[in-house]
Amino acid sequence: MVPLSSYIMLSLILFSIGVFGILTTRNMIRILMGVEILLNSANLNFIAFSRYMGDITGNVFVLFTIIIAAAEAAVGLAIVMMIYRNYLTLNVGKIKEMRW
Amino acid sequence: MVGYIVPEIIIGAFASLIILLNYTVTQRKILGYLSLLAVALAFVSLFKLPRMTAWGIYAVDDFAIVFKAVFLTVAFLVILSSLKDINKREGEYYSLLLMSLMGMLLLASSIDLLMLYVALELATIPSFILAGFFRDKQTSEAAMKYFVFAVVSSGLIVFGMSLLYGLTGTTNIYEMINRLELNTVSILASLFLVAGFAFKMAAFPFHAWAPDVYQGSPTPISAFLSSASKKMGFLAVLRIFYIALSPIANYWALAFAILAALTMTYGNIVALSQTNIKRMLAYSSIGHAGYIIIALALLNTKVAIFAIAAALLHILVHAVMKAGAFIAGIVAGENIEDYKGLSKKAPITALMLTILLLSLIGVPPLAGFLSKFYILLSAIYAGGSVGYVLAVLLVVNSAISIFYYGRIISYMYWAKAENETKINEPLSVTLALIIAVILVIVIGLYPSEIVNYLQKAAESFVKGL
Repeated sequence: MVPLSSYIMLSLILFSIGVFGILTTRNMIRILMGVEILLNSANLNFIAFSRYMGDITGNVFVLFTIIIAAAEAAVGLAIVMMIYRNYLTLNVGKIKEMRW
Repeated sequence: MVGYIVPEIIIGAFASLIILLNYTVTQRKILGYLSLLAVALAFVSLFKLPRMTAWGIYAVDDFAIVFKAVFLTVAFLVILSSLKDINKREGEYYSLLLMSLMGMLLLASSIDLLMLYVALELATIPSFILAGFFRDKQTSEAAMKYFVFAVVSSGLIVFGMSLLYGLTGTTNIYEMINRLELNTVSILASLFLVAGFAFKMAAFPFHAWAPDVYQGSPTPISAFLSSASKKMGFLAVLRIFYIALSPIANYWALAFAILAALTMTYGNIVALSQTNIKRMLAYSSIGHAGYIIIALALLNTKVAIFAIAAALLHILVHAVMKAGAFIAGIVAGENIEDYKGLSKKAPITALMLTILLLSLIGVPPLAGFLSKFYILLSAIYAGGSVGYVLAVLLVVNSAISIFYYGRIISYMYWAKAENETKINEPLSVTLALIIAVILVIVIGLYPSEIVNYLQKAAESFVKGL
């Protein structure tokens, strides 16, 4: 059986990849993908803990997280569409109407 | 049987009704009045709520009631001021606003991490759409920035929650206390949660989204975001940290002390150089978040209950003041130049805005003075180096804030405007301003009952039901 610590390490690595992706990319769609990876790393944690403790709560939590991530992605893609119509680009570095 | 969830049911039912009526009613103005009615009904039902816990995930205690009252008051002011500003797609607007409000009301009562997370997202996701409601360049940029920062912060929060679940084997906040131990992972989990909620509270260095979002959103939504959405962060932090993470209080309290010091200093200093009122109010809102975080930093001391009561008071007062100040911008405009000679152009708005700004500075006998004073007192009672340093910083920052609030007041009354034509002051906006001002004055003049109630709320929340 794979030890629990391996799952935690994997989820931490996934989390870091997600944060790295969000921080370094300039493309709005890629940022959305980074966010998905971020949320999924937490899901992996929940499932691993749930399996090792024999407790169902973690699985339930994951179901809710997946649904919420889907809702967020739907709204996020709508915002991406809106941005593209207004600016004709998805490069977040070029979207800067507001600066002080 | 479902007495404890009545306000949420009212708000949810009206939200669904309004989106349906949007496609059947020709007189769409009525939708705004319907949502006002919904909020008023929900507010009345607060007085009759039984105090109880349901299914181990939902608690109606005095602490939750205080927050529900804050959210409903802000929503009422926001809807009232939107009646004039929102002229198309009203159905979408009001029903999204009510859905977001429903999430906030649920969040106020959540005592389970799962419930808390779902409620937080229910409150946040509609507000992305509201922030970009006009679909033009500025609002879409605001929506994008708000979206990116909010989803990253909820990613951090869920990750922290997953670690907490792994450590304790439960998601119930009150059951966690006995099972949590001090080790590396629990400190790591608390750091993830601090960072995630610092985004929600717009605390330095996680504040970057706030000025852009508040400036770009439609003005009533800026009021909603800074007065209601932001308060969710404080609510969740009080629940999770003070209850569930109390075994490792010394570690996260230090983190909050640093956040408080940086946040209030940064917010107030940057606010000095702003020329856009909404942006200036956003920075001042960051500064005020810093004042509330002072109370969070004192949760590991013996004055914790007093500090919670002080934080609740400042949350309530700041929500009303800041909502009012943003709403005044609907009439007066965004640029600081628009405020020159406002006392001639729009006398009522200018007077109301002056009172609200004086309260934000903290001039007695207005409510803003009182709540700041309570936070100062709790910092001094707590003592120790942390308490005294934060107390001194609070006083210094209040002094700094006089400059940028005072500049607007002096522009309104003593600067000459280029043209002094009257601006139309819509009745609904004026009414919202008057309600905010009355609340600020009444809380300032008769604080004892409210403070007693908040003290009781803090105690009820510590004991659990």
